[in-house]
Amino acid sequence: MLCVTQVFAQNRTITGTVKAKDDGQPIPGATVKIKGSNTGTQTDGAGKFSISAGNGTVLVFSFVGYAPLELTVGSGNTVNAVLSPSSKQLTEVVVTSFGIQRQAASLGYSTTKVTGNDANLAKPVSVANGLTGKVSGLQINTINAGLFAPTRITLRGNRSLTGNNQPLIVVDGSVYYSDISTLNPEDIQSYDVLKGSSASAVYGSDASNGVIVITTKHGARKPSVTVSTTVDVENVSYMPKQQSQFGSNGGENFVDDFSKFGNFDASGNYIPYYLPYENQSYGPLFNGKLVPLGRPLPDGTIEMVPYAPVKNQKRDFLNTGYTTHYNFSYDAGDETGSIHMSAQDINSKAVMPGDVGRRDIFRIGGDKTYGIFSATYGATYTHLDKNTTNTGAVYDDLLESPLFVPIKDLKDPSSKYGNPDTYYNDYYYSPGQIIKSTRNLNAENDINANLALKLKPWKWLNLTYRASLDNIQSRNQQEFSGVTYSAFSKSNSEIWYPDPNGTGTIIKNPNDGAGTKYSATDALPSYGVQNFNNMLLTSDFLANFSTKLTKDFSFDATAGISYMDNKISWDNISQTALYFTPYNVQNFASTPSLTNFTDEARKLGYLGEATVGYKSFVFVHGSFRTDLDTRLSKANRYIPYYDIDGSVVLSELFKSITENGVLDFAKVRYAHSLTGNVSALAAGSQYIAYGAYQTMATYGLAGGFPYSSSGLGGYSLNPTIANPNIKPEKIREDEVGLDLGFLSDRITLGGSYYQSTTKDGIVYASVSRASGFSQALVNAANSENKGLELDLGGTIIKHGGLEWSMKVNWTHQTSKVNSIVSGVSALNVGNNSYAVVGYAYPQLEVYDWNRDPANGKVIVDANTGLPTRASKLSILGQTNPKDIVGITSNLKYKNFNFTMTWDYRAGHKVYVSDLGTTLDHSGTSITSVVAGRQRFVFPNSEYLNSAGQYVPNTNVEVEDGNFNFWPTLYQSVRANYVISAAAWKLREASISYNIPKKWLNEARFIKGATIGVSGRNLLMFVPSTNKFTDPEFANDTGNGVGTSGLGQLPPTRIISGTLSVTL
Amino acid sequence: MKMKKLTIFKRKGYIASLFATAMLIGTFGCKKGTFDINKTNPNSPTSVPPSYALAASLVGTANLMFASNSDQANNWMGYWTQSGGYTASTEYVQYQLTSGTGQGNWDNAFTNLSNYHAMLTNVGTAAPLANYRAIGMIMTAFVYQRIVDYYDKAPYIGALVPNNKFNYPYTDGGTIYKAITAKIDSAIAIIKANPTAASPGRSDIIFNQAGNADVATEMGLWVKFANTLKLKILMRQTEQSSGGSLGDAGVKAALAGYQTTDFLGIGEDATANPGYSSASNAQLNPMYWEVVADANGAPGYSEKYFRANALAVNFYQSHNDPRDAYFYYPNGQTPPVIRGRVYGSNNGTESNTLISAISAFGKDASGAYNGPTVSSPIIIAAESLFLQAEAAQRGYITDQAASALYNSAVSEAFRFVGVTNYSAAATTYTSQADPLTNFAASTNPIQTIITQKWAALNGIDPLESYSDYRRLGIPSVGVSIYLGNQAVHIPFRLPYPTSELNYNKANVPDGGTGIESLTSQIFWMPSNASTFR
Repeated sequence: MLCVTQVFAQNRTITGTVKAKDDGQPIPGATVKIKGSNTGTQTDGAGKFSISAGNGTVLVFSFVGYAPLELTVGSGNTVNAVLSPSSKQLTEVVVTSFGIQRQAASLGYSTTKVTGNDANLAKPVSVANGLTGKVSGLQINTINAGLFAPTRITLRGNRSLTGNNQPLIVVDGSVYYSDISTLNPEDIQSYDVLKGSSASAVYGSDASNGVIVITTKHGARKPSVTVSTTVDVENVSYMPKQQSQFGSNGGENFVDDFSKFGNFDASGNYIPYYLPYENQSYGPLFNGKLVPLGRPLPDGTIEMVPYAPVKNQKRDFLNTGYTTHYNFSYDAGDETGSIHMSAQDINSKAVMPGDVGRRDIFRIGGDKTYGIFSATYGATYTHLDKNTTNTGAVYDDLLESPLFVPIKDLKDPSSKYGNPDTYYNDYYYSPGQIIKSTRNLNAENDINANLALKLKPWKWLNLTYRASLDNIQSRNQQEFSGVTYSAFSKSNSEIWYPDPNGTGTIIKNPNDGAGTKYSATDALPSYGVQNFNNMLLTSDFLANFSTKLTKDFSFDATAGISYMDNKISWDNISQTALYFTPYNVQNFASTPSLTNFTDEARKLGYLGEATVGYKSFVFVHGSFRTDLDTRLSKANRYIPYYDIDGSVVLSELFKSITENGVLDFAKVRYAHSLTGNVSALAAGSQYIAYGAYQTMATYGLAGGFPYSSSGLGGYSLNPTIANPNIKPEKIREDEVGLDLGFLSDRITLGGSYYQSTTKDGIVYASVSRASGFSQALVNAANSENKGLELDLGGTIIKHGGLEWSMKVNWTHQTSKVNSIVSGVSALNVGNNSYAVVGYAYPQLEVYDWNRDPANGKVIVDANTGLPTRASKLSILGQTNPKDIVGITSNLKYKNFNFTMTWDYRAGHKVYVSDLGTTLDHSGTSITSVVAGRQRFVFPNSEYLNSAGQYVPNTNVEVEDGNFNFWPTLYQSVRANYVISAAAWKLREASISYNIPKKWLNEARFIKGATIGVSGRNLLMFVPSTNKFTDPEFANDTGNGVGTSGLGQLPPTRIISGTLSVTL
Repeated sequence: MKMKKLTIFKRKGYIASLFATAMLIGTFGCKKGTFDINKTNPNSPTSVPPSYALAASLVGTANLMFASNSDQANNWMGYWTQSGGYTASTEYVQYQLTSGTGQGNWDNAFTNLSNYHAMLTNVGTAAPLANYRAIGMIMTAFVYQRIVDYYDKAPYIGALVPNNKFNYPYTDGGTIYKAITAKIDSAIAIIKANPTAASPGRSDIIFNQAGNADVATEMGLWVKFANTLKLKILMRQTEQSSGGSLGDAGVKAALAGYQTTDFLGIGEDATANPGYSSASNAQLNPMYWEVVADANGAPGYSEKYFRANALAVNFYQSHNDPRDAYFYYPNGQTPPVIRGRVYGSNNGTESNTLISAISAFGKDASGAYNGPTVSSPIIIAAESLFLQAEAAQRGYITDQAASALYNSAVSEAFRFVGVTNYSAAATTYTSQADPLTNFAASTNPIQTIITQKWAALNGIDPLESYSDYRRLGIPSVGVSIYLGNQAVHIPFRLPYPTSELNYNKANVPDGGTGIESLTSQIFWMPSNASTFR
């Protein structure tokens, strides 16, 4: 002991500077301590320190966010320390609701930040596509493969049975009503995905679904101009599986010999098995011989085609899509502010012939500071134009067409065999004819403007006033050009058949009962038009106080008022026949159905939030909001909503756990919130105006009234039982989480577990018709949601110029509907999806076979071997995935950058509806040939024997395995089209190359150039039961996910090339 | 230094307060009423005068009888079938019913009842509006009979009034029948007690289509309509005397004192017409739009799907009945003929060129097929006279002979569909040596009456024919010949709809699911109904 004392007795003054490794700047306020003692000091404003110490003394340098460093005092009088950042997680800033910035470490709820660049690597048209797979808890469904495909976004599943379940989109602090696809991905600085309803609690009665906070680019000090071009090439990647064995017959005659084209009956009459005008493929086997197709032409000729499948022709009917993206941006700035201006033009030709679209976005955004004043502003104008056909009708036509019909040649409706008169199919227009005659025109203009004025009179006070305007105007027009048939088509009843053995002889059957062309009825042109206008005005006033209460306690609080006014008007002139074109309402040939409405709602919210921090490691945050909502009665105004959350940064509290250099960051967090949701009043729309007047009983003009010939008026009851006392549904959510960083953030792991319960859920509950109404507006539903989210990130290799990092996220979610309304066991939530008491939300319900409840076997008739359709709907599985995995890989080597995003979803079902039924109806399905069109024993079936017992069916074959089974009975049992929706997808991959500066020496004005190749939806792996399509597709973006069909084009793969130059 | 700091503080404080005040005024400076904007609905009225409610409700009843709701009955009763151009329907030809089959007959019926109920509530007992009240009650009875005839048990007591639990217990068909019979009696009493009550005017689209009817005449016809409806209700119950059904003696007792003049008689068709026209699809006669054409003359929405059934066509043709050419259009062959398709036929070459299309309610006075403006039959005179003929044959009413009533009924049926010189044609028809046309030659008068009633109500009131079949097994309609069909007779009822199974499950009685529809009987059906073919 004495010896030691002696050593210390020889202390001298040691001085030095503490600097940060990342930026080389001095660190003021860093702690310098003598190891094993309480003696210590702090660095000054220049990062300098002085301390008394002797040789061999170990100095410990530490600072928030940096790994502690130990240095031993040697012989000199100077010790300089360079601290490495320990974890970005301590210093990261997250933009939260109303644009409030908070330190990530202080948040009690889960967030994920995605940079604009990361989301834009594969040059998606919609920013939503760039986020897919990259954030745990975030599910983005791209519901079709059409132009500017809509998306459905959910964070942590669905909290409301019939209300809006999509998160709020907040752009630069203001609520954004326009579709997320109206944003230019190139304009985005970052996305902060705030997953829980704690994060959104300050939005009060419409706040339950989390928030995606989008921060746009506001320019940079260095002036630069960036020009880039991307060209996308899009091709169909996946077609429903079809059979290639059998050709045309629609049950006209019972086919007993599939090798023959027909037969003669006892009295010598020709019985055709092959029908040249038929859309169904329940006829003879293909044999490659020439057969007449369609009906004879007026000139006495007929199209002769080989009776053999044409490979890939349905895929080939669809075009290669091309999309060009032109981007321009200009950034500039000085000490007091900066500006970003941009323009984007996207011009798209879809895979559906004739479908074209164009989107133009212009934006200006920036900020400016004058002393204690500052202003942030942004304005965007988006114009979208689409011209599309009736996808469902074309796709149906295409899929039904027997495989030997050369349908890919019929894109041109004026072609010899593709016009209405000559098209082979008696029942439909040719696909080219539909494309030409049916056009949907959609033009949309979105204007979004945002201005925030800030005043910072003192360091501790920040006043913000923000006003924003979001205007959506759209005009939709439906045009049908009409179809006129020739007199010949209307009168000709002659059909030419091949002879029974297909020797090439044609049997002309002038009048065999098939009659004239079935579809040969002229149709008038028609036209309809809708105009929609949605105006959202918001203004917020926020006062932010930020101060240190004592040396160790910090206090940060915001109080504010938020006002919202939403007005919607809609005018509809429904599609009505015209005498002739032009498409104009003046030319209507009959009285159109007219509808128009205006809706308006307002909200005034009082809000506050505060964070108290103890040192750098304990944070408690709370927020509060109450609303005056015009949609609700006076009694239901000012309902309080709140959030309370907190975090403890264990790695700062117990510094010692980081000392072994493995763990450098650890945080535990907890959040609890109570939020509301009134959007069920608006039938799930986020637009508050749609929720106006919903609580009143009303009458509506009854169908047909007023009768123009008599002037008689008539009104009938609104079928909803009114409820003036409706109150917001209440969502309680609890969340716990852990965030860890290892090896200087080389590995990060974040985990969250959440559970939410929804009480007083607002439902337009379908009720017994005996009530006199079809639905009742009630606060009655209860449901719950639970989930686990894990995010693992790591740098696998970091060596020389090579860096390979990966991020994996996994989301596991479960849900349960606890009750709907007394006595009500199921509630349709859109398409074929139902909220079913006791089951996960939502469930598919369609008709299944009659099954033995004991073993699930299909019950067949003991004599006919035929199963029967159940008379009640069966519950067939949930439509939201139980598990979602996202994997992102990023490989950098020198100037190369290679990224990939994979994702996997499983545990859910999809109903492919009319896509599935049309395949079996037409007999082009692969399913319909499993037994070679012969009789077969229905698999996994049983029958009731004469002793009254159910016995396994091993020998009773179905009465017919051809026309009287597949398109009729089998097709009518829709459970046959409910399949696993699991899929692995390579969502995107991109390779880019930054052209080295030295190559650009010749052109010094060029600051940088990048070329890249990327792809989207490159690969998809689905279970063998999915013979149909991308299981992510859906009819619409509503809550009733899990039903897709002919309205969705087949999935496509997109390959893009990009050249970007910065000047 | 100190002073300067203070100045800055003051100036900053001043600016800050000014900023805050301006923004607060901007945000809060709302006028009184800013947050009361949702008190008045700018889009829909919250109440309507009774005449608008009555007109819409009566149109609702006409739509309930037609506009797709009668498809099942028209098919099963041998009037219509599916076109050879379509894949066979499991519902029609295989009788594999689901809880979605015929759902409109339930859903639309209750919606219609609800509108009558709302009108009755609004009208109350006000004497000047007594006629609205009476018509509302009569039509409520009319719609309820349809519900019972399709579904047997149904919610009645406590129905049409929203309750907190949305729980609607079912009432036996027999009890409902009794209640609606009483309701008809009350309605008649109301009309008789309020002779000075005003006519509903043009909104009475059944007996005041021109809007200028004499109120006594108009309401006199409503009394006859009410009595005919009562007769319709009573005659259902002749074959079953237990389970709430009156049986032969009970019906006879209930009809004591009634004379043929109490019911709709010759020329007194109850048909609805709000002013049907070709102005738009929604303003067309609902059946015309379904099976004939739309407002622009293009095929109606089921024109290509439903075609003539060989059962009815063959009946008319084998009994020298001219009406095949009134109920159906000639086919597209040369020369055109009326041709039906055998029910459940699988022959796809039986195209629409070969099989006749369906016309809507016959022809007009000029001999042209009835067009888009034809009235919707509710209860036609012929139906009333056939009911009276059967009642007379059974000895329930005695002031006219069954044969006379029968001959009038056939003649009125010929008139309704527009047969040229209908009276003479009917006489010729009923004078054949054919026991199914000539009442005098009949060995089974009930069979002759009901067979002719079936022949008359083709597409007009297929539910009445369907009910007669389920009551008497007349005529023998058989079953579909579709391969694999296992049913031996047509279904006895419609299944309870999905809406009830999902939303009122605890109350739905047994016997009302799809497969049970083949066996589960309406309360008035005789116990031997399962032997009907």
